Amino acid sequence: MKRAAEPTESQSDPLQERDARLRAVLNTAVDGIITIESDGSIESFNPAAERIFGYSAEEVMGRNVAVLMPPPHREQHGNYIDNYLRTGDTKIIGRGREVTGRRKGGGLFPMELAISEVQLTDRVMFTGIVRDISTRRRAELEARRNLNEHAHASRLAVLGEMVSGIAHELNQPLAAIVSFADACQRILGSGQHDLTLLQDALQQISEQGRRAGSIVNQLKDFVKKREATRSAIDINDIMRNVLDILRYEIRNNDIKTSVDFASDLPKLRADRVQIEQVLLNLVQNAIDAMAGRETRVVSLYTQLDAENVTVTVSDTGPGFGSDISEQMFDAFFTTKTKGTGLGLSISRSIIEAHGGALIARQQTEGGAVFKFTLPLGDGGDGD
Amino acid sequence: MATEPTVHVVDDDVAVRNALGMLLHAAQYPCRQYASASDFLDAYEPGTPGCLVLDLHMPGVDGLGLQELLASREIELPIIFLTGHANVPDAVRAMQGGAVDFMEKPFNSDRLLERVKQALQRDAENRARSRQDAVVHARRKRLTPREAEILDLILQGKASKVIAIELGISERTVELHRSRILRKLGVRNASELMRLLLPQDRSP
Repeated sequence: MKRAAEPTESQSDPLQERDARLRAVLNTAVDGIITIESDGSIESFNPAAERIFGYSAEEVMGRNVAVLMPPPHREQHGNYIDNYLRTGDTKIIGRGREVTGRRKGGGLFPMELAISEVQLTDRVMFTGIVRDISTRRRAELEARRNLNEHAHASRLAVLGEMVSGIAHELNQPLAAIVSFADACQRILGSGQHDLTLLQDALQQISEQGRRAGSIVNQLKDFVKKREATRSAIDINDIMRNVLDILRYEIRNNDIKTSVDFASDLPKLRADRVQIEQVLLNLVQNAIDAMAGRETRVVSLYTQLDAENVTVTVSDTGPGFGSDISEQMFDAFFTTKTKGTGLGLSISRSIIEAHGGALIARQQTEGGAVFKFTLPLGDGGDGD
Repeated sequence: MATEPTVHVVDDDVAVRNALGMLLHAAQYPCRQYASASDFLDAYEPGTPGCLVLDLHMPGVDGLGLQELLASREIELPIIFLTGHANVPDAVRAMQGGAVDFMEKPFNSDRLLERVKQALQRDAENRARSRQDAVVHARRKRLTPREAEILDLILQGKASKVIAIELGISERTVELHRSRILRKLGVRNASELMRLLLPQDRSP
């Protein structure tokens, strides 16, 4: 408490004094403050509201507040108020929410709106506090686009590291196809047409062709440049998909996988490819960390609690010194000879953009544990 | 009882295994398939003729590991390596280990079958040689200690006169031993003797 707020010496009317002070607050507030009567007509409109909506107070005073809204709220607003006054049911009063506002020129913008009800002796009034969030929205969009760019670059880098595995993976079905086809030709050339054998070979050829195709498609989806899109995802599904993408690395490095997926996980709203990327990164790191170790096990768990789904990826590698447990999330920090040092930093950005957290921990018996959370949110549908 | 020479295919990819099986079958080669190196080691009867078509990258013991294992057990099956993704160090190791060939998937079927033919040929030659080695070994065992001593000196290229001086016996006695050695080993002269024994003595 500062002394400056001591009562003034002037003997002015305390009521007048308070009124002036309130007006000063209204006039200097950063947020738009608008009061309306229960019929919707505007009773006051502060300077911040003038700035935000582009109307002067004189222009809107007495007019219906619906003028500040886009359709269909514009038409419906009267009903909203009536309905509230009759039933006490509200979607908006007493809590803030994000809505779209309409400026004088007709331009629409995102704003945060909080409405409170004021009980006067003779009637009810409403106060609305409005904050223009279009700048914040633009910045968020920009940040998301940047993350998208980085995530894409990182996916390309990951893919680069996997390229020999992918070549191997594709050459298997190709080798099978070529051999089956050549075998068919030999069988036909020999004059002894064993039709069952030929039929079997042809069926295997088409199966192997599809196998090669699905490998290509999986990769194409993974490296495609794309806008981030949130949809309802099943995290266990994503885990299985990642193990599938990495099956060659897992097989070739003779890694055992141990999975324990919680059943009945609710769907989460998340960007499927980005979450896949985080998991791919963590599992690939685990595989790399265990090179040359006696025991090579990657363990994957999912867990559900009241607010989050937690995903854990642990390995039986040497772990990391506690001195780098935070450093390793920095961009360009790497201990690998061929790494970009971006994997963990982007993974953390992705998880944080989803409202979760990614942490690393050293196991007492050696080995690293990476955990990330994704908030449950309001489930699958809607936006 | 001679077993038919068999092509042993070891690859963890079932489609590739089946395809190779069908190709070899179409080319009239008896063939057996294994999903891993240990499956092969469990099933293979040492001493039976054949060759190996071996995938390089497999979980557990990989192709190069199996090659080393067979060498350490003195199983001399010729090996054709297949790989989904070739790199130079692997290829060098495979060839230094005596592989017939090192082929990248998808391989040329004609070349593969050609290599299989060569591998089986090489195996047959190896077997003929080691059969002969066994015969020679048995015959050498019939030599007396003195004859064996003199044989060693002959193989070192020493003339009878030199041997006589070294052993302090007469040259005539050396000649007598020498003709008995030739008879026991079933050869007519010194050059036949060399041809029979020297390959066996070369280092592996």
